[in-house]
Amino acid sequence: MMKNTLTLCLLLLTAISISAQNKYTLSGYVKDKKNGEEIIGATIAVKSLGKGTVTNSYGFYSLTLPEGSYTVTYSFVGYKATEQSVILNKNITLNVELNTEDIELQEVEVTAEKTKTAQEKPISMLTLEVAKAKELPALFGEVDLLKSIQLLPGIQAAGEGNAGFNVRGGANDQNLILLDEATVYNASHLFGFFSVFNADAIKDVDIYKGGIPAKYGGRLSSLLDIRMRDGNNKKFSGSGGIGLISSRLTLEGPIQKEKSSFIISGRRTYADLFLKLSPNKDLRNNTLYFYDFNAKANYKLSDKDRIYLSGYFGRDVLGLANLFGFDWGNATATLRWNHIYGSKLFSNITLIYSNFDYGINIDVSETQNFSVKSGIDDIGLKADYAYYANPNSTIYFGGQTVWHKFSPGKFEPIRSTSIFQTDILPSKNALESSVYIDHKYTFKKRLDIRYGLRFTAFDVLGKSTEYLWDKTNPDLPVTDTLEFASLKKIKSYYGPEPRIALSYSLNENMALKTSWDHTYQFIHQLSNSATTFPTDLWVPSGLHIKPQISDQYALGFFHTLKKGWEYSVELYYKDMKNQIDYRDNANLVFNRLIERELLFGKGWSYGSEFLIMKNNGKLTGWIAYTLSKTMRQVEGINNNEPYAVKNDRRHNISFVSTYKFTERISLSLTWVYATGNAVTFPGGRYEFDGEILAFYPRRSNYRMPAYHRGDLSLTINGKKKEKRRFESSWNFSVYNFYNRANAFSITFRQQKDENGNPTGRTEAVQTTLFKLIPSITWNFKF
Amino acid sequence: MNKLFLISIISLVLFSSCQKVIKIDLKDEETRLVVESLISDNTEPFKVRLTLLAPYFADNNPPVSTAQVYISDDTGNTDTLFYSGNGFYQTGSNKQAVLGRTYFLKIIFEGKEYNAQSTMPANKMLLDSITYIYNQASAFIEEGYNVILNAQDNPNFNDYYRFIFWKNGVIQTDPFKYFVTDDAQVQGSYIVTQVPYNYQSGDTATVQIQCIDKKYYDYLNAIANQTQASGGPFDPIPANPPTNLNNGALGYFACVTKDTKFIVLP
Repeated sequence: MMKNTLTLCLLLLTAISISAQNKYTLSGYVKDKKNGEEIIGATIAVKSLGKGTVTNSYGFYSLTLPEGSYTVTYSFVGYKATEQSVILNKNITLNVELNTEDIELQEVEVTAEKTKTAQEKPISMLTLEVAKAKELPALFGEVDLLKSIQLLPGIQAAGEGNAGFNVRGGANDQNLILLDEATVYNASHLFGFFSVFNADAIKDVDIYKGGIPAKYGGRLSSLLDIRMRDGNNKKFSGSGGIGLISSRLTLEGPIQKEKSSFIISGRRTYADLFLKLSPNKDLRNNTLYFYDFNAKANYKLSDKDRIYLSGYFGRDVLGLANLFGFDWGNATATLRWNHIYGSKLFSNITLIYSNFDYGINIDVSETQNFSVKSGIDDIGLKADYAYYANPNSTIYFGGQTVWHKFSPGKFEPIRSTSIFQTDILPSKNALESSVYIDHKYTFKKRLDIRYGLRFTAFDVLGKSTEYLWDKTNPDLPVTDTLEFASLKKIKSYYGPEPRIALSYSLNENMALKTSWDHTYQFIHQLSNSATTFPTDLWVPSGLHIKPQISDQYALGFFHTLKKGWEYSVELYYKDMKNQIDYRDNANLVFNRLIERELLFGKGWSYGSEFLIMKNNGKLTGWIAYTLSKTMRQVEGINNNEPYAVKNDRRHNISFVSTYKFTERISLSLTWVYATGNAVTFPGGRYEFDGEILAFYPRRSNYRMPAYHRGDLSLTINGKKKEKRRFESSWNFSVYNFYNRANAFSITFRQQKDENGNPTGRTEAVQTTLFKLIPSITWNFKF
Repeated sequence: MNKLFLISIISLVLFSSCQKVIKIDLKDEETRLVVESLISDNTEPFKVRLTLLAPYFADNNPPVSTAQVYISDDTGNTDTLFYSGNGFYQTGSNKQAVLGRTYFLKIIFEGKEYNAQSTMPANKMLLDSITYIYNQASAFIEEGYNVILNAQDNPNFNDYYRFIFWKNGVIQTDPFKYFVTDDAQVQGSYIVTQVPYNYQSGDTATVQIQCIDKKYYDYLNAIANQTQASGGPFDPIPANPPTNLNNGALGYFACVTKDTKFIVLP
């Protein structure tokens, strides 16, 4: 398979070099004139030829055309388009800077060229504009990119106020979340209520629900590609905000003007700072906060070489006096080197580090004290190439290798007087390596085809200890314990991941698109509660867990209308193998036989997604409706019959709108509706040991009530003054403005009288997490 | 290590979420036999309680009075249990389960036979002593006494324990009723454990240690998960505790060792 891929790659390259005669290449970077930030996805169009390209994730473009004189248009949403005359009789490097659009100007030029239309974008791919997300209402006023993407069709919230998300029936751990190319393992703070991405430091958010390019792999359902800003390389500037629960500050500026820049951005919550004011000594000693720190620097070595260093560090800390401590967080770092060979071959070499870990300290007394630590570390090297053969043909190829180290748990006494002893769960290592080639080709301006092949190998390696048991009766004791020496192969998995996407333009404004992707997932997060918990382990495939495999087919129709309106319809079907579910009463905490708690089966999901969007004018926003069904069939659950997964919500509606009254004042309204989760309710009661227990006949036998909620936010920008650099704005947000008591959960319990004594009867209790929550945030920049 | 403990603390801190009792229609399942039986090395009659599964919102579970109930062991002894009212069946004389011996429960009810077996743990853990400490009031601790149990773990056995605590004869349930643990991280240790119940001067504190088997440990853990669900985001998926009875019966037949001590707080 590997050999075939290489042959194919060589063949394609040869074919292209033969055809490239008497042609020259126009290449360069497209940047923001104000701050020198490179623009991702800017359009470069040659109208006379009807040809064009878009900038890549580093703002680079390359366009090979026959010799001649051209007028080239550079444009991007929210920027004034620029035209450049080019006499192409040799290879030309042209770096272009675009000016942000002035609002008044926009009013005049309503017909201004729209750039990234739904029609031009790949199927199942959506882009979230960070600036727009900042205007939307947010829980506690915390701008949250992950919650904003949940408003898009096909993407569901994992739960109320939760930053976790499910894409087209996929599980939360099936989303590949990349921050500047580094995997983020746990993208939320405070048990899911806030995402780890500080919007001030983020430039661009793309999400692929399908049609994932061959360049990316490792997760089944989606790719969330988040790019950090590079920092202003023209002048020193800053921005920040003070909110109800947190404050943010971002500083950026040139290191050497136009050559290198930096950005640092921090955010910290401060609920616990108020605790410090408490007269009670014990309360003062409590902690509950999280913080994020993003930093990035880039350096232009030459016109052809550029280096980026970026990092993220975030942590949640929770403590009760000295008795209990719990902290967790991610750290990522990437070092990237962009190099342009000639003017057509763009390369990016990335060195990646990613980590997630947690620690728990319990120190109740001299004898009862212990700590638990667990984590996952990745070190990877990635090489990506893009060869811009001609405006009709781009080839992407490269490879990646990642060393994963899983440290499931280390239990230790804190002091020597503790009754507890050290207990370490065997660690695991895995090497995940892949190569890919992907070709994007345009036939006669009408048919875009992107086809690619990714080939991944996953090797689980020692040093480790593996346990064997009787699979027909996992309750029996372990039958064998195998010790593997360092780097000794425990198990290997490999497979090809073909991807294909076609887009056919029916006319200038309408396109029909379709795609098929085959994806593998080799590492899995084990979680059997409603919300992912920081202690939910990431485990590799191995002797007992097979890689998850998915095939997704999608078909879509996209239509761009006048005045910024567009709509689309997408249908998908997804078939998932080796899906993981859990035995009844699974114990997933500090369990060296954790794989015994798992059950495996297949899953499938299908649905249709409707999106109507308005992109410019005073009123902007969208309405998204998703009709979908997600089922699973697992041996050992519900008599091996299919059942609905928890997040199988038949109907999902989101309504998102922003109305700009004036340049200074805008009002946003969002409304969401979703069918209730599939849940397990009792079919009877029985008594045991003085308790009344519920009898559960089967899983997913009931539905929660439907969920709906409306949020509002009002943004008021301060007056802009010509001479003054300082600008500020106020944001007033109301979460759940009509104060609906949505059911987060319904639990069944024994009834107690006012003295707390059981009455012998039972009752159902509905828990509501968030009712109306107003918040206020003050933002500034200079 | 218990996730419940973590979750309870976190839920306490984070969620002052609102809860209300609601009315909900549930479909009733066909009735099933429910068995509750715990025999031990204490000298007392073997007892079994039989009831029937009832609709979830029913006021009680109907007792079963018409079953035939037998307990036998792996050395050939068989005892017949007689109905003594309210669903209880018991042996005519005092019995004492023997360490390491396997016991069999057989029930015949409405023409159907139900069976379970359970093995007495081979090791019995003994309480060495109960001591106490006095706490001043603070944010998390009420003023009063905490009792401390002291016991030696046997390094030669992989034990599972249940601890039960009484105050003046009333079993303590707040914050937790179920204290079950294995000895994986305390193998061979001299165990000194402070109990999170508050006792006042003059109270009688009673402590019992039971050695249980792995299956009963799992069963009790599952009950703990179910009865301590908070309605918050971290509750596990609801599930039935893993019964050791066959033929669709619910409940458990357990064999345990018991050691009990008490003190009167000064």
